[in-house]
Amino acid sequence: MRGHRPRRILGTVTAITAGTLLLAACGTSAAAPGGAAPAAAKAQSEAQLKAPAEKEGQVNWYTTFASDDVSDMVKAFNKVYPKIKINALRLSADQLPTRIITEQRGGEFNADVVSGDSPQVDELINAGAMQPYCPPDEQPLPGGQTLPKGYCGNVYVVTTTIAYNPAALRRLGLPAPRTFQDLTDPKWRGQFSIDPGAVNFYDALIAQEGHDKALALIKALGANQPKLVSSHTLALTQVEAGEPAVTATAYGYKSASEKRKNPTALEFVNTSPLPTSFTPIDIVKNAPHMAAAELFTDWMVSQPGQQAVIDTTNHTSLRTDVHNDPTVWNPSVWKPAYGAANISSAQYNQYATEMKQALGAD
Amino acid sequence: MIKLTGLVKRYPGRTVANNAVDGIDLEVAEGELVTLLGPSGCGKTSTLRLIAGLERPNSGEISINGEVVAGPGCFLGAHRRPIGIVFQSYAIWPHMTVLENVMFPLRVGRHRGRKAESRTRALAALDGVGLADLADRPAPALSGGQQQRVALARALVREPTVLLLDEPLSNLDAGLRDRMRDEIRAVQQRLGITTVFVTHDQDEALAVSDLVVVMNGGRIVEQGLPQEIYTWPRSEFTARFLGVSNTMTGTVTALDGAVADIAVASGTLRCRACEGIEPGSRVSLFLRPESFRLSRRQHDENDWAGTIAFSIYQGDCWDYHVTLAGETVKVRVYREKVGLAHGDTVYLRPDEDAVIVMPESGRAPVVTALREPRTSR
Amino acid sequence: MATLTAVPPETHEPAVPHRRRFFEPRYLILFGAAVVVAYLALVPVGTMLIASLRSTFLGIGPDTWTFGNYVRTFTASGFGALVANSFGYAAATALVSVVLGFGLAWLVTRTNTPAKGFARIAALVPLIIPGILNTVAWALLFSPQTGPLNQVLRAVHLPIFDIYSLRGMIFVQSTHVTPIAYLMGVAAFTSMDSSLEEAALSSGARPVRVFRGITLRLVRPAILAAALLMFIQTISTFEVPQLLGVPNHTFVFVSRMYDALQSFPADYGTVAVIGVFVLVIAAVGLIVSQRMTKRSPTQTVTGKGFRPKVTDLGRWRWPAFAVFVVFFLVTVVLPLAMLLWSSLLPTYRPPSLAALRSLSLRNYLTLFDTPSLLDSLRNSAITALSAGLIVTVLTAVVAYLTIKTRIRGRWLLDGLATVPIAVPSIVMGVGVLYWYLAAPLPLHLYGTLAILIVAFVTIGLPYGMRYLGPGISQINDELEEAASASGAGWAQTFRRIYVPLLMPSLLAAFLYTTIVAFREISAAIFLYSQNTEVMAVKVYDLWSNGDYSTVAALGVVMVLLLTAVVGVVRLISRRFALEHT
Repeated sequence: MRGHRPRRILGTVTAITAGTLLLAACGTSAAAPGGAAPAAAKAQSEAQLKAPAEKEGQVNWYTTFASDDVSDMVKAFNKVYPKIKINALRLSADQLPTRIITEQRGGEFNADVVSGDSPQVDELINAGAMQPYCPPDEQPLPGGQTLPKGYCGNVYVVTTTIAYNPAALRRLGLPAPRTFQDLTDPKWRGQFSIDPGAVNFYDALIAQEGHDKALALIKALGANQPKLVSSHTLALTQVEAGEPAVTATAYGYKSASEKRKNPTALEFVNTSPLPTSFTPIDIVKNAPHMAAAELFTDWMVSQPGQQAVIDTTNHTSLRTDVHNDPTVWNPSVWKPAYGAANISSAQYNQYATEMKQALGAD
Repeated sequence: MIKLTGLVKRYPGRTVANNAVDGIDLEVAEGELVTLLGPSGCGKTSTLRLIAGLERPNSGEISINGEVVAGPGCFLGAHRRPIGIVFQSYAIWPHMTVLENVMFPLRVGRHRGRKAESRTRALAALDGVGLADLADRPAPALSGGQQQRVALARALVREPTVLLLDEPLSNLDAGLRDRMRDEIRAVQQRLGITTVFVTHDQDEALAVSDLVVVMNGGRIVEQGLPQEIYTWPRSEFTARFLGVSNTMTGTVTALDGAVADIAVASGTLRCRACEGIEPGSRVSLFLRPESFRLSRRQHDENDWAGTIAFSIYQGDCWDYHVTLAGETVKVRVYREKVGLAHGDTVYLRPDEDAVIVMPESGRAPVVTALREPRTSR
Repeated sequence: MATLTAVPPETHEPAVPHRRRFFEPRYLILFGAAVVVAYLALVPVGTMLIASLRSTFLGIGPDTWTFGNYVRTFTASGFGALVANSFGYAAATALVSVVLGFGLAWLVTRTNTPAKGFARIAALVPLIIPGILNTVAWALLFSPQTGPLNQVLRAVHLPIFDIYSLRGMIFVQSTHVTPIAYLMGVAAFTSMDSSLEEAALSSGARPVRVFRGITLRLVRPAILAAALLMFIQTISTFEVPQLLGVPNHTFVFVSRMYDALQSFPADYGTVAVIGVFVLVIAAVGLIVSQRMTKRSPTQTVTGKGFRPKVTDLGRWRWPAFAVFVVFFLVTVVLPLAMLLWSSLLPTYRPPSLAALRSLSLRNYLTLFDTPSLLDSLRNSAITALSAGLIVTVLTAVVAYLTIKTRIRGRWLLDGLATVPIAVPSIVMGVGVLYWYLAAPLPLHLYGTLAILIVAFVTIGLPYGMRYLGPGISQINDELEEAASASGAGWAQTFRRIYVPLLMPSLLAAFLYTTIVAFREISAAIFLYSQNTEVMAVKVYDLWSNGDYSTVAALGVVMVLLLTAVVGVVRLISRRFALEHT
């Protein structure tokens, strides 16, 4: 068969094309999600839910909680409801909507409860992948923010702060930064990192000072040659390791808990106003374990659930009857600037593109 | 007994006019050793592989002992034919010991023997080729000749109806080759096993065969007893392949029953006639180098005069290239102590009983000036 | 001469034997394997092609056929720079790793370098360090300010090496893929007939000339194949460009794909277009390399002894050995030491005497205290070992089919089994996920370990072929025919002749595909579900949470585990090797 190789490859390509057509037939027949959103389920009392939930015996939770936090949250829940097993699937925020939409297009309804960053959950809601639900004990969002109609659950908020390594700053002879504007000074050139995908940060900046000023700030930061690091927590780890010395988009809760572990290597500063983003919790359309899903959601937003979130993860709760980490959250000192809790995908994509271009991540 | 009828084998990518095996009819009698002889690419190995069942014929029929093993609507694979085969490379399995190699045929297939019994039979087969004491050696540790014997023992251990040998001697050095050749023949005759032997070496073929089949271009050119084929080849191809290196053309001047007078460029000849000639026909003459009498003096007026172009000393003989009128012949002379030198004048007389005559093939008319035969005394 | 007789009429084989032939077990097995391989290869490639032609693949809203994705991707600003970066990065990595890998392979197989046993292992160990851990370790080692190696460079007044650059990416990716080039080099040098070199030496050529003129010429097909493989692998591997390229604004194909997956809805169109682009480049590369090398299959295992010639390096033996030591230090000791160091600290600090006091085994205790980690370990073991086994069996049959038979269409199968190599793992993951969700199949694989195994098997196919193709083509046909003529059926022949003779190749294929499956992240990340998380995903997960200490501890455990697997397989393979001689 010498000398027939080129034909061989052409043939392969032909065969692949044939296969493609086969696949295509299936592709078009896949059920599209969406359609009319189902009516909101009426909240039931815990007493009503407990028996059917225990009968279901399990709940599938897709979450962006860090994986070590997930198991602690599961333990806390199982202290109250030992008969309900939680199967947690930890996903990053960007994987979350893709995974659920893909599953549903394939006719697979596996997830019961989703908790994740608000733009991603909004995306799922807009796509009709979710089921409206309002836990009985949920309070309205502050700052005049509203979730899409019929959806109420919010499991925590994250704040964006500036974290730095004091020793590294001393070595570089730089003062500790106080504001995001500080980092646009040429002396910080190349010395800090930023997450080019931190749209929630940009969104909060917009909410606070308007689109043009916010974009100008991001552009100025981008002009100062920041290192681009997509993971907030990785960025923190790098700062602790001494390089780069500063990260502009650290999460407050994580900076505080890292600082407790490693006080000499990490310091952070909250700005005022403080960029703050929501993290909703919601029930998925056609959830296979509806009662358990409702029970779990109710518990998560309740006082004991929220306190467990704070104690386990150091995240921030908006409830007034819990104790947040005072170094992370004190609205009287650092006025929260809330990012939109209800954002369309067009808007999100616009912000994401603007931010990436401004930071040179394109 | 093996019978091949109208056997055709074509490999993909070749044209129909270029069949590897192109319509072979052949019968091998019970207990005979038949040699398929021919140059490489003549289809002899393909024929053997068809008999073995390693190839599937495109058409034609093969039967072994009356049972059709390949033909329209039927094909038995090699593992279901009663055969043993020795390959050119020996194909000794390197991951087994000698004994394991020979035991293998007894431990596979439908009629699987018991282990102890197989062992005994394998040892007996090894004993038959004189290798019983090497039974536990790893197979790759053997020399070429020993591997050859293992291959033979392995081919025979199942007591096959047919033994197939594919150039079994070509990888051996010269001395060993003769010994193995004789050994193979001895074993074959002792067991009386029907055997097909493929070779491109005429000496091998002549030495071991009951019947020699000369092949070319996927077809049988001719077949016959070794001495027939050697002495009186009926085709130019056979003649040339069997080492008849001198070719001349001539014209029949007289025909007297079985004897013909022929005029060639250098003189005249009287020799055995063949079919299809008459006075005036153009004929081809084939002469072996050893079929000449060569001397320094002219004994007879019909002797052909020539000069030595060059000479090669071969130990038991001398080879001379002698330039005759317009052509050069090779002459081999035995029993001569001192050789002739370049430029010496010599006289040649062909051994007329050994001259092979055929009607001229008509392909390549030889353009030599035909001189008047020397009839003057 | 019977050349003038009429050509016998063309005969057609009757239908009966055809059918009977097809139902022979041999043909059923071969056909079955061929169908499985074709199916496995077509699923991701087909999905990729479809996705590239759909307006909102797997998204929301109307999904129509379109060429828009192609137009948009190819005309996007910066696409030229993206192509230049990707090609520069992949070509340079291919060059470095092939030169290094073949150089080391030559030293091991064809010279009298001392301590070859060590050298063999030294060149293979980097294989078992997962790419993401290797990358992270190097990022820390060469961190511009705090990296210990850069501090050393600074101390001796040399310019520092910035790992966050194209040079850095090439360096790290080369340390990662050189062992594969080395393995291909070993195969090439071992099967090369050294009498050809001796002939050149004896005709008066100087050794250097012989190396250039004969040795290199003879292994040129292998070199081209290896370079192409390294190129494609580099162009579709995720970790290095993401961790080292993106921070410094250096984008290549994969980081662009990853980026596209982060928009809403995930932009599969762009991902697929780049995937198709990479596939086309790979196909062109294959054609070109095969045009250039018109290789002839060589059969070298004939049952006769075959020993490659060993070159005496003379005084250069020890410098050659030093090359190995340096290679081992750079690719194994340094990154592993870095992993070990960070696994012993509660939070990462650059190596220093002061930090020594904080060392503890707490991270390891955490590992064994976390049930989900143990689950992921079990899942990894199951999926990687099964994938390794399945790939080995499948590719053995397919390689047999493509090399040892004349069945029509076998070249197509060869091509199909090679295709997955050119499909970036991200696309592979999405393709497999989509197919098993959307296809009307009787089996429900989503959410099971089986779907991961399917993906790992698909990814492993080309690698299995790399090991078993040459392995099978080295076995002389007559060894099989002799078995057949001895009365052994096809299955017996395969089991008793091919399997033992192929055992070294089978074990190597098994080992390598198992390791690939164990390390695989980019596809697994789309396919795991609750209860089916695998270890590599866990590592990625912990890493993206910045939990570097646990990542490092887990990494050390993974490396130890894989070392154990490699050790066991090598022991088995040594037993087989002993039986051979």
